[in-house]
Amino acid sequence: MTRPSAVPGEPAHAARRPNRATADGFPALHTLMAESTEGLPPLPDLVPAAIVDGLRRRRKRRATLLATAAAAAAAAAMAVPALLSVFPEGASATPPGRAATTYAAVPWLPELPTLTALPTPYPTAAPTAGTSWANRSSGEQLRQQELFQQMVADVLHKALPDADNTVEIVHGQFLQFVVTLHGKRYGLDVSMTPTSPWTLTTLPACTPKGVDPAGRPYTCTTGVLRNGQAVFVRHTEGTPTTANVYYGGALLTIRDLRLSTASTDALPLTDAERIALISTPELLQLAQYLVTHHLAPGDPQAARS
Amino acid sequence: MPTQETRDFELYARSRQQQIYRTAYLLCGDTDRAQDLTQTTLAKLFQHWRKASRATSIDAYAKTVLTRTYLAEERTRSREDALHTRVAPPTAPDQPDLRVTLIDALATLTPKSRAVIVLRYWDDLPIDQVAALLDCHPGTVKSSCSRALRQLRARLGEDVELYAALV
Repeated sequence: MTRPSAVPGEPAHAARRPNRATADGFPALHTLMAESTEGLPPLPDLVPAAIVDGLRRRRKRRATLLATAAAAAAAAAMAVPALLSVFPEGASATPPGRAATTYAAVPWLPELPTLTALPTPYPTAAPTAGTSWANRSSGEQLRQQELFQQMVADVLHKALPDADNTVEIVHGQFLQFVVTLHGKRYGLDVSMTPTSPWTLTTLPACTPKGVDPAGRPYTCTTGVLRNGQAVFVRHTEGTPTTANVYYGGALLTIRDLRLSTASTDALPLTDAERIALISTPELLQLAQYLVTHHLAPGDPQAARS
Repeated sequence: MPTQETRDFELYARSRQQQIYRTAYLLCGDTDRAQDLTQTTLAKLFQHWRKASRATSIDAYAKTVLTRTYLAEERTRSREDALHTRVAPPTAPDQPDLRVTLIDALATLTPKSRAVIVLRYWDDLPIDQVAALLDCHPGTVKSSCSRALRQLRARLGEDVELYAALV
């Protein structure tokens, strides 16, 4: 009987002794393996068939890769209109009389922590009553909140009618603004509230006219985003006019703000203009950003981070 | 007109196909299947020949392809076994008893344990290399080895050491 090392096709190390089987306490194992494979039937030349099969596999793999790339491109092409579908149906996000702006279909917001410069600095207006939100924030969080307010101010400036409008950030009040339209100053409050997973994220039906539970008459105008989400503008007697929409885990509300107790002036906007304003894609995305990044003052998760 | 790449592959494959075949036989225990495994391994090797020829060791690359192909086939077979009753292939009459005994004993191991035993004791690979090749922890290879050796020794009996001493 020949030694395993003499057999053609045996591993080159086979002649070495002791092998690992010896070291592991079973010296016979390697010998048995060599003996078992010694008298195998002769092997035909498999190389030509292997080359043919290998070439076929290469072609198949290339075809699969091409098909995958094509599918990914098709999916991307379908995703763009889907992302654009949040734009309001029929009504333009830009008020009439202004040049329409084309917005990218992908999220355009930069990561706030890396934002170092703003395109337009918005001044601050005189403080109103109440505790400054800034007292509840500190350090980097405060800097981000200030930047965020500047971004909202920028969006409002571009979305509001009257090309000569100005926007000021109310000092000490988070997301409150003073806007000047047609030479007159008005207050504007923007509220972005996170919605918990178990709360209703569609607005209840709003009839054009009715009486609220407190007995106050109201009128309501409805708009719809392209994703089917309802937008309401509501005028209730004795309360500020509000526009509401749920988007991206946030309830976004734009409310008239009295600049003084004696003031009764509401923003000179039609309901369609209010719907267009609250449906501005950047504003919706900012609301989503605020709640997902827990940027709001007093947000318990922001305090932990 | 074959390219240089094809010629290199042919040269390598012809010199190694017998060795791959023997390893494949120890893994699967069936000559026809071992031949198929060898051809699939060579085909896969040619498919990725540019990458394989740049590898530190083409032999190690080939062993990896062979072992993974075997384990993948075993997974498919085990799924098929759940649906069909497999008939054992007839034993060739010219096979010496010892070969049948070792192959039978190896057949009692799980595919992964069998691969561990073949790589470690036939291809003489260190634990770390076997672990890398099978994509598992070296500790798993050690315990697999120890368990499988115990099982093989029990199955083959004490005579086997005496036989090995005589050859």
